[in-house]
Amino acid sequence: MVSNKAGSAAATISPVKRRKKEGMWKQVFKRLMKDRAAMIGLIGVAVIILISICAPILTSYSPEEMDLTRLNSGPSWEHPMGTDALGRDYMSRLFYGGRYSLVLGISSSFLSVLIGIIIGSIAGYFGNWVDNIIMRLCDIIQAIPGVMISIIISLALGTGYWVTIAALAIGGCSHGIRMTRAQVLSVRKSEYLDAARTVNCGSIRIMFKHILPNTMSPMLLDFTMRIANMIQFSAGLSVIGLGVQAPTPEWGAMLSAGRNVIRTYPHLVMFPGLFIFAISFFINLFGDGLRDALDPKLKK
Amino acid sequence: MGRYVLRRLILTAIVMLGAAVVIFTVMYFVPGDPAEILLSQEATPADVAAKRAELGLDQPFLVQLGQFMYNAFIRFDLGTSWVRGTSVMGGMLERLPRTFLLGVLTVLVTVVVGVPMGVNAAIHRGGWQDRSLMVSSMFFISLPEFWLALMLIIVFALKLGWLPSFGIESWKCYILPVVSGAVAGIANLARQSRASVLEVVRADYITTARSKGMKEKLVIYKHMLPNALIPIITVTGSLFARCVGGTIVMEKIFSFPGIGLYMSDAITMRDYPIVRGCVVVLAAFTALLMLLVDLAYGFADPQIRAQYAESGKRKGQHRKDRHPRSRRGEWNHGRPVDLTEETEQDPESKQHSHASQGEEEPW
Repeated sequence: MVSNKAGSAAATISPVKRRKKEGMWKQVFKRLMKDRAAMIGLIGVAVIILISICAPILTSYSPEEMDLTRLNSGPSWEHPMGTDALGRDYMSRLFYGGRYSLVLGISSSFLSVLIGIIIGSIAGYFGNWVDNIIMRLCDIIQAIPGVMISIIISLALGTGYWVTIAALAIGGCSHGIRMTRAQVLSVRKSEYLDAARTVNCGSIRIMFKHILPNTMSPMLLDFTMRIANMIQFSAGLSVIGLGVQAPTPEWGAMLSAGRNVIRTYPHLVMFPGLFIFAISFFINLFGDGLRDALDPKLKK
Repeated sequence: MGRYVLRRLILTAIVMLGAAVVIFTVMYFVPGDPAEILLSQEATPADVAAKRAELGLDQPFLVQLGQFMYNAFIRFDLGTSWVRGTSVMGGMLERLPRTFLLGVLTVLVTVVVGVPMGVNAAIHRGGWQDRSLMVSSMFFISLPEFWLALMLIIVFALKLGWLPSFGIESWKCYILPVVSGAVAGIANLARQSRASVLEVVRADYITTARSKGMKEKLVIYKHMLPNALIPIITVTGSLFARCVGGTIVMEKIFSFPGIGLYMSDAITMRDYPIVRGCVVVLAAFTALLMLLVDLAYGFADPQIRAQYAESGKRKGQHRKDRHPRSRRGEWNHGRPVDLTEETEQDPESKQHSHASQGEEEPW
């Protein structure tokens, strides 16, 4: 009883200490846990990731194994999602394909945000002519529709898995540059930066220790929401004949390969699209919750 | 106002020129010798060299760039297609109106359906209209556009046979492309309209309007909507940019003979002058559209218009201070400033991040 009282007294006396324990990220996490939709999204994403990691356990076929007696067969008990034009089990290809699609989405989104952070913080921090040049370049790049940038870059770099990731990342980075720059500008005049400068912090240390952590939350959100877009983007590129192409079991590439036989074998288009839709839906659901959790003011 | 428009026009022109330079430079690095692609396999090295000279490919990069820019912006000539042998500009002028028509129809459907849905949800905040919109919009935003298009083709064209899946012969041909292009936009616009109406729904002037006995419909359409219009305009602008600029996949799926199909055919045939020309024109179009959206702010919001007019008079100040959106916060009379955006302080980037929302959407 006594100790309890003492405990609560200590808590009221030193609110500063208690606050320090609950950092911003912990608060965000707490708010996120309360958001039912976001949790559904998170679980959905986790399930899809698990499916693609555990693909060898979940399916009894190899994604490369051809069964020439069953070409293009529709869904059946043996092949729940049918087989493709070479008689390969479509479900196992889709499960394995998740690895390619998810890695593509995550890495291109990450790269794009990373480029945005680096260039954007340089522009925002140094200001003046550096800022001017970078921003005018961004103006120019933003005038070219994002799809078109990815198209001409993948034309210049060729088709292939990693090349597509690069093309997608470069195509989408101007938005990240602008956002980081705006964030950096908004904290640049803060008092804690003056304080840091007064104690002789160098530019690099100020940037990494003081500015970037304070600009992280929109970047995190951008990264999350972008993953789904990147997967859809790359599927679009595959449809045009660029991007990831057929032998790779990537969802977009499979969808675009199935498009040619849509009249006769619609299941070849339907299932990859369903997977792309599912991952987009869950990511968007989670991202929406994350936005509210990062900035509770938004959700009045 | 005139001065502001002029300044923005000049800036837009510079952006267009810059975009053309960027596009030309990237395309310059596309691998493969065009002369060898054009000629057959048996061509001798001398033939290839002659072809290179004919195409002007033996010139240094800067000379080629200068020639391209001169031809594109002074003579409005985007070169000749390698495969078809026809003028790229002519081919585009023939196809651009169709793509525009499709884009306009899609945006029209999007606005007519999306805005009322969003307004309705905001007014009945927390009600079933609101909740169903929020859930269903998330669903539709996540639908990959081209996959939806393919599914619609399977159902309505192949199984039911009600609608054609390609061509432009009758009005029926437009239904599937418009619907599949509009669905994600409707969801997006409805969410945006809901958010921006929610910002004004508790404002004092709304209470005033209601308390003087104004009809609810009038309150909504005379007081709420005009004040919530800016983000809606922005999203609409970017949707239109996306419909025209990102149309390539949809046109390929529906075999719609617009600029997108022209371009995707050119990609397959490695006919790079067409690709380059299309991208340059689409970039110019996007830049113009961004300008129009910015100017539309002036028409939608007298505060911004005043700021535009002011910007002509006050010279020598820092650009940021003169920018129309920089003062909106102060003039908003307690209305929260643009809650839907990231916490940005730089007005310029805010405007652009608005305008670039379309880019973030899947095709």
